[in-house]
Amino acid sequence: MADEAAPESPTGASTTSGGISAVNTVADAIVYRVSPTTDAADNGTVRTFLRPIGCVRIDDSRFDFDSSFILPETTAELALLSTRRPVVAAALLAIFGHADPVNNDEYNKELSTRRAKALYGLLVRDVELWDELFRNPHGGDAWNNTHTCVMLNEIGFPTPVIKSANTESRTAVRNFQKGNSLPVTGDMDQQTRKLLFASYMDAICLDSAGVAFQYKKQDFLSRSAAGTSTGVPDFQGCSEFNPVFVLSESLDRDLSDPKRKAQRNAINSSNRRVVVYVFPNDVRFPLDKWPCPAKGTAGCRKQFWKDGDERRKPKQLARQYLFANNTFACKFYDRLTRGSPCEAVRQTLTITLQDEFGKLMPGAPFRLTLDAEVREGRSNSNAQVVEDNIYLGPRGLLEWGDSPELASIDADAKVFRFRRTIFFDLDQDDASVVDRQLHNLAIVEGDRAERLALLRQQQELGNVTDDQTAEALAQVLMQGAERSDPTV
Amino acid sequence: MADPPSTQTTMRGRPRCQVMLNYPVGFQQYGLFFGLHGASLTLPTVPPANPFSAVRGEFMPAQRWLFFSDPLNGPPAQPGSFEQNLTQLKDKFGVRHVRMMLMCNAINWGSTDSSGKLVKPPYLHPRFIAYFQEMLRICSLTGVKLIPSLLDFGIAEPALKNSRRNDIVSDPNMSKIFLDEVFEPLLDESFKAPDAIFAWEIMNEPKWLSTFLWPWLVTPDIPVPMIARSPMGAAPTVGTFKLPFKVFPRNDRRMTEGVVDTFLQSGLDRVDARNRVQPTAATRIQTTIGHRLFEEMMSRPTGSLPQFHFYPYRVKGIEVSESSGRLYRPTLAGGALHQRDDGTFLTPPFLGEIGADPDHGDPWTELHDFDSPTDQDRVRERLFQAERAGYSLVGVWPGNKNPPGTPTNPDPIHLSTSGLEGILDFQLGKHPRGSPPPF
Repeated sequence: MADEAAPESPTGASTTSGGISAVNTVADAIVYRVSPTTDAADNGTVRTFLRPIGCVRIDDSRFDFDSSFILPETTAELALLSTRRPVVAAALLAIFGHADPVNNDEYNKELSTRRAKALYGLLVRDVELWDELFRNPHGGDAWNNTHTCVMLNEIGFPTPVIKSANTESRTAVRNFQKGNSLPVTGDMDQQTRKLLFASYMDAICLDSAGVAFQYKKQDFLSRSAAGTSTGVPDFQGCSEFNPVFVLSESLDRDLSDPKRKAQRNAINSSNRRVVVYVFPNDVRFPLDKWPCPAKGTAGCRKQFWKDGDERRKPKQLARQYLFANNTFACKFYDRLTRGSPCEAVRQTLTITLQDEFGKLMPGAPFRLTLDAEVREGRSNSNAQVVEDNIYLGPRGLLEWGDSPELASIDADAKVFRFRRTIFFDLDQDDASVVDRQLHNLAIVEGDRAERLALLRQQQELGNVTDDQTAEALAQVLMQGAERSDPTV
Repeated sequence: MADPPSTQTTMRGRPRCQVMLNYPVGFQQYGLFFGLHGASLTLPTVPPANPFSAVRGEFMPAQRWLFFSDPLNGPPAQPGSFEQNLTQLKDKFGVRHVRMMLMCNAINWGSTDSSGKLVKPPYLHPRFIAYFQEMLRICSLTGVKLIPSLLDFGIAEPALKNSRRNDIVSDPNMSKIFLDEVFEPLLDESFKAPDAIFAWEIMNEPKWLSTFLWPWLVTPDIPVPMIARSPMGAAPTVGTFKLPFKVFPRNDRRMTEGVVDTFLQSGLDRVDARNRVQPTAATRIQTTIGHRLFEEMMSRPTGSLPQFHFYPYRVKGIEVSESSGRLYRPTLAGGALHQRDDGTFLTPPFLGEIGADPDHGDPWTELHDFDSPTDQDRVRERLFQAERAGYSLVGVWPGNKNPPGTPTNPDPIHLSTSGLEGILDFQLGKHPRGSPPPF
């Protein structure tokens, strides 16, 4: 049974163990450069970038490794999708598949496209698309008896999951054929396959009430009842061009050792994803201008930023897309998705809690509100909040500590002594990173003035131990350096 | 370092902003808590009040107050309700500070002769002290800190005509008498219960004593600067107008900022003198002045806890024009340490008053449409905004025009139910549109 979605966050996001559904945030970093014109033909029209209004992401864990086969656990994320974009709604959908930097661009273009195609086929119940994937293996992406067994199990014909067919799996196939009035051969012929695909699709593509749902092909960006011959813009693969996480150079070198392949794959898991974007129904664009190619990477490269290849290469520091905004090579996809919670990195977050005097706070209740979700709990004995599998954007809201005076108001109400913006993008090399570090340490604008006054009297620098932050603090205190408030 | 991808940081707390409630006329309501004019307060050694005497013994003058409701016509309250009220405010709404005005316009002290000159009463009615003792006892008991405010700018209320008490400030002899005979006895009680007091306030909004709003100055037949009410989001319109009439009260006693400041400083000095002989910090008492504007606070006596009030752009149609011709523009400023013109730093101020109703100042434009339409929205959003601005303490000015005891004004503090819900939202971090703005 797939896991239940976590409660919605205040921003309308929901997460599962294998994905996220979110409202797409406004991309504030996109600048429209305009100029007046006297050319009547060029009448000064400004067309906004295509921007989705919502998204649902399906993580790598919902696919077999190096495969486009969709595992049954995806039910949880499909339920999120049915909520984000109900079948009766008018909003349009488009699917983007992504691979990790292992293998080459061309291979990954095909793999990412196949994953997007598999999801599209599932959502519109096009078993022919799945049969194409079955009949046309691509490297390691070869649908085999393992997948047949998974499907049979899911629809009530139990069999051990094995790569090569044996007596037990053939028996399960026979039972399936018998139960569906098909010729009973025990072989996965095309007729059997298509019916098995259809049954499996209905079994896993369920809404939050557990009822099977499907979209029509005209629910996708092309608006075509027959879909398009190439699949774009309804579904496409982005190869490995848009990683949400890029390793540091040193770690990349370390993990290039074949013995560490498993670790490398694990670290890159956030990059392997399929994202369904939801667009407003009134979007208009000429289909022939859609920039994503169905095949090959040449068309993708035409959409690259000038430094597209550099962006996805390891640099001195590890980078996350939502923190650094400079890991996507494709300009089109970058503009399309900038700031989207569905492009976050699933990771482990550790926060050490202190009170206003810098004293550690073990066992302190907390509530962490992110774009993607809300998490509550207590800090451990080391005063640390350790949260695994969390989609992290650049900032959130952290509340912690009891306020017992109000405890009698409402037994269910959580009241906290502290409630502050928390910044997570602390290992970037941008100019204001120190401001964000100082903010987390509760050294904000007012404190600077206060400390400046104190410094004059006491010549003290506080107890900041981090070198970079201490240096910045010293600049503020000693030289009156101005620093901006990162929350503004 | 954990395996990537991972993120680590340390978060240090900053205490949240505390909410204070202003009792609109303080002891008016305080008297009501014990029944009309304290009739039900069992203090056998205290003689009854006489609202028609120069020795009245009531904190709230038994005379109609221009901006506030009439205590004579208010409903009687139940004995002990003050304690219940403070307990409820603390336990249910997290309010741990209250500010109450004591002598208000001071027509409960002394009388005026035919020329309007103030004549001091023969003695201070013991009821003042008895009430104040009881109030401090209840504050200590409930843990709610009090800001007693000695005087209000209403001492120069033009509508009082010959009954005005502006001599308390403008006449140095009367200033001394007032501080000796009223303030000092109250300080005697205060230093017996310093834990009950957050700060002693010498006066509420002394600015009005030297502006045209209280036109006892010779009314100039010249254009007066003003800031007109502006639509939300628009810059205030600066213009001029001529006062439509001249007011020359017979007891005209001119006051300048300098005269007012001398009085304020005298009051502050009285507290400081006592603080200097206190054995520990715990037995000392902070001081404050309830300045109307940030800019005014930056240039005038403040006491040890600087305070100002924030009502954007206007109050009652005419915004601030100083006798010097200087225009002040209200600003929320910030709860940080501010540097004065002379280079000294002012302790981070607190916001003594922000409005809970739409009649006190224009909307807070920075809040956009959050600053409406209900008291709940307004109070919640303004408190969040004040917290974002870094204030550690913010006082809500209730401004509920509905009569006490009615469904929309169930509480003696005059804050509507909706406004109280706004405070609760703030304390709980609730926000109708998702995550509230953090700081």
